[in-house]
Amino acid sequence: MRKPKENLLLDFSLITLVIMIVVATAISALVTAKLNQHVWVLKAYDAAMRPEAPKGTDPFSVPEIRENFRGVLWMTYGAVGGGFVILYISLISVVARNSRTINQQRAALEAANADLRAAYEQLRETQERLVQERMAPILNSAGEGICGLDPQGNITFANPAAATLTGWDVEDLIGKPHHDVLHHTRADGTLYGGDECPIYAALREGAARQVDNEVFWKKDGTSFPVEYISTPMRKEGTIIGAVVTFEDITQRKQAEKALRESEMRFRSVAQSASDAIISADERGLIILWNRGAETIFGYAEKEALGTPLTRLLSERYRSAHKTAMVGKTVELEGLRKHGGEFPLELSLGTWMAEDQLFYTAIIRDITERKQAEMKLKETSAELQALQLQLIQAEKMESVGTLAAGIAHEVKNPLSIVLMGVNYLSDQLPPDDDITRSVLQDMDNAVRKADSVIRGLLDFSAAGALSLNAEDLNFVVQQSLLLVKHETDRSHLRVVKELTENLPAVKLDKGKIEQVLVNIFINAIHAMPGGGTLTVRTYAKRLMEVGHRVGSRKADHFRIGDTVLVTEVDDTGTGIPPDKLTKIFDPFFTTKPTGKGTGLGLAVTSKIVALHGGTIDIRNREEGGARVTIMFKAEGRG
Amino acid sequence: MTMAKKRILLIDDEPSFTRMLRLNLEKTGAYEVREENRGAHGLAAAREFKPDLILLDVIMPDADGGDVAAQIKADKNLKDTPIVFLTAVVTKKEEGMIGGRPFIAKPASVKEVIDCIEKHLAK
Ligand SMILES: Nc1ncnc2c1ncn2[C@@H]1O[C@H](COP(=O)(O)OP(=O)(O)O)[C@@H](O)[C@H]1O
Ligand SMILES: [Mg+2]
Repeated sequence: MRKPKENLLLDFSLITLVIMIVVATAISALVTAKLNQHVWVLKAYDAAMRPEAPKGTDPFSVPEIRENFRGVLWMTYGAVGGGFVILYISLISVVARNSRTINQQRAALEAANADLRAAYEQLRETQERLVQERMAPILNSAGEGICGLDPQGNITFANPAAATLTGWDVEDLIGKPHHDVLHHTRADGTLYGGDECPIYAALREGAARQVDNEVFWKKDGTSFPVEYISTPMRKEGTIIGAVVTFEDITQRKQAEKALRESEMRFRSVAQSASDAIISADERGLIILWNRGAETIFGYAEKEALGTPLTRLLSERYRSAHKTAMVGKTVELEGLRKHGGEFPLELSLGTWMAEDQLFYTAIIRDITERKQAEMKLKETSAELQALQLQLIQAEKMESVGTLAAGIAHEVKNPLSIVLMGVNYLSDQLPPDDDITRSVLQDMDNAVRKADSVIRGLLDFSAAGALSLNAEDLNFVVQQSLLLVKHETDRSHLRVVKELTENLPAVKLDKGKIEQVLVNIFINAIHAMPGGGTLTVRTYAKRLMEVGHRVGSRKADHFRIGDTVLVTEVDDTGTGIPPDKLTKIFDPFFTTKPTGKGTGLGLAVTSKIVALHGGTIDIRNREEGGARVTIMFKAEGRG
Repeated sequence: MTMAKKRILLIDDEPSFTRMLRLNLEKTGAYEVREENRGAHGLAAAREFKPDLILLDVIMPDADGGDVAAQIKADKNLKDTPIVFLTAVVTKKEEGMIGGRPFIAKPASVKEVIDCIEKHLAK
């Protein structure tokens, strides 16, 4: 700063000097020229004054002139030179004075400058202290380890977390090479050269590095998985060190591992599941597709991902609202890749991840289950039918046993009463008609009671069949003869539609007569005001599965069997539908006491069943009832 | 003229029944009747009474009618004495015990019983 000012002054006086010399020279030249002019004038004057004087004589050869002239010349020189010297000196002094003033001002400025500098330094220090005071707690309480490194990689600063994490004291760390202390060996136990260290690379190359798959070593020789960031520090373009922040990511790694494992487990579970496990995003687009899904729907994972979940459902269910299904298990129809529809069971759940809603569907192909259910239903219906039959049979069985017991207990008293009545009747005086009629009533009552017992006994004794090949039509004719008295009395028309040349059938003739008589009597009772009793027989080859016809054990007949059918139609009251299931029950009767025992159809159905036949009673559309009995024909099936 | 009365042995566990039947039979004057209400004593009673005909119950608490009949048939003095069972044929077991031999179904009127007795005495 000072030098240029002095130069300026020097330059200034040099320039003035040169200018002055030039000006002085110029003036001297001018004076000289003027003087020469005067010399020539003087010479001319001299020639005029002294014409005798040879031409060309130098006036300066005249000593007076020469002396005068010289005197004048030197005076001129002296005057001009002196004037310049005075001027120069005065100029110089002015410049010198100015220059002194400048110097003084400069010194003042420099002093002020120094003050300013000092103040600035102070401010900076204060600021730095302040920063440090504020930074220290931050650095000290930071959860991450923070180390400052010098350009050689030695630790110049370490915060308490760095010490805690590494097991060293802060003081121990300071001054040590970071890599050699904390970073010397890789996780797999191999040596880790400093030239490979990314932290040192940051120092060398000035680029920040972030690493999360290495370990730092503790004082006790153990290591921990670490994530660190190494950031170079620069000052005026040069790298003056680096800051390394690091944290122990053991837990994170463990969590990551656990997550990975659980993910793997989930994947293997999902993959090994035979159910389809499918996830979709909020828009319903598939994001997860397991092998089960592939098997069930036929789409490979690649084909399925990103496509709408709804295309897996049958058209009918696509509009069904997802949210209505969430949390439930519903049965729907699915659609396979190749177009087949099939029953499926779907449970839909939702989950949130990063503010997004996802759906997970677990889908099971229930085709087989449905089939099994159908089969089960069929079987259970069959079983139910069988059970009903069994119950019926059991009912009859127990009624039979009961009947046998009752018969024994009741028949003796009845015998006594009957014989008592006989005894008394013989003693009667011939005119005692009243007593006679009383005894007659008693006799009737005993016989009625006996007929009930006999009905019960029929029922229980039906088991003993003596089967013979019989002509069904003949048995029917015989039975009609047995009720001829009744039909005549009720004025019924009896129509016989008996098909000739029927195949023979194995029957207990007496029991079947009992069956037919029971049925005829019921028909007769149902037509108190007269009517028509039609008896029809025919043979039929069973060609299709129907009621009590099939391939199951419970079926009485099989397809291809020839059966002999006996139909007894009446034009009577018919049977109220709610009673239809009860009429075969023992003791079920709608008839007044004395007329019906309710055992007729019970005995009848038991006898028919023992013959391997079936009996059905239904109402005819034209009115009245139809009883249909079927027996398997001889020698077939 | 007085014909010798036919001797009828009634074997039945029900005393009021045998009594009623005895009264009815005796009233005709044609029969001498003995009641035996213990089946197990049937054979002894028959040996002692030497009946012309035996009416035998089938089911008795202390003996089976079939067994009693067999014992009587095994006795050389009694083997020709006709036996008529007197019972309702209710069960297969009874049917087996009667084994095709004659029987009268309870309840029977006195007339039916006498007809049956006479039929078998005539043989
Ligand atoms: N042909 C028929 N028409 C109308 N009802 C009938 C017929 N056959 C049977 N029934 C009804 O079935 C009931 C039971 O019949 P059944 O077992 O023979 O006993 P019962 O004849 O002694 O009453 C009868 O009381 C009657 O109500
Ligand atoms: Mg009837």
